[in-house]
Amino acid sequence: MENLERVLREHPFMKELIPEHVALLTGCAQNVRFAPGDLLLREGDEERSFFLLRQGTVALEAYRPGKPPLVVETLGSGDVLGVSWMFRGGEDESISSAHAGAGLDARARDPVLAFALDGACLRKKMAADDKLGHALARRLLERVYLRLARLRLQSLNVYE
Amino acid sequence: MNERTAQLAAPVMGSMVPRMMRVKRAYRELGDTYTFDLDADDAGGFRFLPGQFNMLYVFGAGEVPISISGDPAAPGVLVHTVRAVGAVTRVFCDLKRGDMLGVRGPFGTAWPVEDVRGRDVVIIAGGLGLAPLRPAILHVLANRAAYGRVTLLYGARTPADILFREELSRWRGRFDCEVEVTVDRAGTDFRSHVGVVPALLDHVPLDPERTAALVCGPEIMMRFSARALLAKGVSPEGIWLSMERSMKCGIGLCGHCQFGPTFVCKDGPVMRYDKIARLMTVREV
Repeated sequence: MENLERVLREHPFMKELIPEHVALLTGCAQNVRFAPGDLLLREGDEERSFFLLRQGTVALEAYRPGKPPLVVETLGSGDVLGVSWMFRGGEDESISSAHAGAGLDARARDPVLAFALDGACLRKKMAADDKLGHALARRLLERVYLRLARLRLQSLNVYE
Repeated sequence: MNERTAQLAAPVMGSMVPRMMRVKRAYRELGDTYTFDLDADDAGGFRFLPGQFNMLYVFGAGEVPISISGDPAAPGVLVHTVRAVGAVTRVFCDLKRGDMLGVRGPFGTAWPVEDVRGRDVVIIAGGLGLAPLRPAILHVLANRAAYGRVTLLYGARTPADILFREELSRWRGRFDCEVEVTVDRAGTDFRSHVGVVPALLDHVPLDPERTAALVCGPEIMMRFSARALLAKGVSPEGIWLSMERSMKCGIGLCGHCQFGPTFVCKDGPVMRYDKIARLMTVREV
C-alpha cells in the first residue's frame, strides 16, 4: 500500500494534493493493466472506475454502425479517463443525464498501465471529507475544462 | 530623377521588379497542395533566411505572397509549397516543368534560428504552416549541435492531410529530435495522436526557461498554442509566430497587410509573441 501511495502521488492529477488526501485516495486505488485492443470503457456502460493513465495510449472511439470506428481523441500518460462515476449514487441522480454511462469507447492501443480508482469509494470519501471533495472536484473540473477547450478548437476545423 | 532620389528609389525598384525563374520540378504533396522547385542557379543563387517569403508572379493570373519552404543552405534551388485556395494559386498549381515565374523577394523577418542557439527549440506547426517552418527545421537539424533539445509538434486535419510525410518520418527516425504528429480525426488504423496540437505539449518534456518556440499555422491554432506554452511557463519573449495578412507590395508601402501599428510584410511575418499578443485579440485589427 505504501508503494502504491508513493507512485500514485507522482501522477500529475495528484500534484499538490496534501499527503492525507493521497493516503485516503490510495484506499480506493489499484494498479491495472490493459493489453492492446482491451476496452477500458465501453459506450453506454456504467463508469465504475476513474482511471489515471500512467503508460501507453488510449483511443476514444465513436462507434458507427456499418463503418469502422472514428478516433476522436487519444489520451496518454498523465491524462485521466472517466468522470461520470461522480454523478452516480447521489440524491439528485434522477435529474442527471451524465449517469447515462460512458459516452465513447476507450480502447488501449498499446500496453496500458493505469490506476483505477473505484467510483463508489471515491464518492463516499468525498462526501465524508469536504476538503477532499473540493480538491478532487476542482481538479476534475480543470481537466474537463481543458478537454472542452481542446474539443472546441478541434471542432473549428481550422485547417480547412 | 536626381542622384538622391535615384538612391532612395533603387531598393524599392529592385524589390518591385520580378526575377524570372524556371520551374525545375513541380509535384503534388496533397490533393490541393503542390511544391515547386525553381531554378535559381541562373540568377546566381537565391539567398534567404528561414521564415521569409517571396511574391510569386504567375503571368496573366496575378501575384501572391508565398513562404519559402526550401533549404536555406541550398541557394541553387528555390522551393515554394502552395495550396490552391484562390484564383491565382489555382492557376499556380497548373504550372509544370519549364514554365516561367516572376519572383520578388525575399521579404520579411526570419525565424530567430541564430538568436536561439544554445536553447531548446519547440517547433509547432499546423496544416500548411509546416512549409514556412521547414527552412528553420532544416537549419536547426543541419546545425544540430548548436541547439539543446529539439521538438517538432505537427497537427493536420486527417492522416491524408499530413504534409511532408516522408520527411516527417525521416526526422522522427533521428535520435536527436522528437517528432509528434496529431490529427483532428482518424480511423483506428492511424497509430499517432488524435487531438489538437497544443495537447501534445502535455506529453513532451519542456524546460520553460530554456525554451524558444516557433509556431506557424492557422491564427486560431497559434493563439491556442501560445496560451498552452505560456501555461507551461514559457515566457512571451520566448515565442515567435508567423502571421498572415493580405500582403501585396512586400515592402510596407501599400498598407494592405497592416496589423495594428505594423505591416506584416515588413515587420513580419515572423513576430515575437509579446509584441503582438494584445493585437491578436483586437477584433478590428
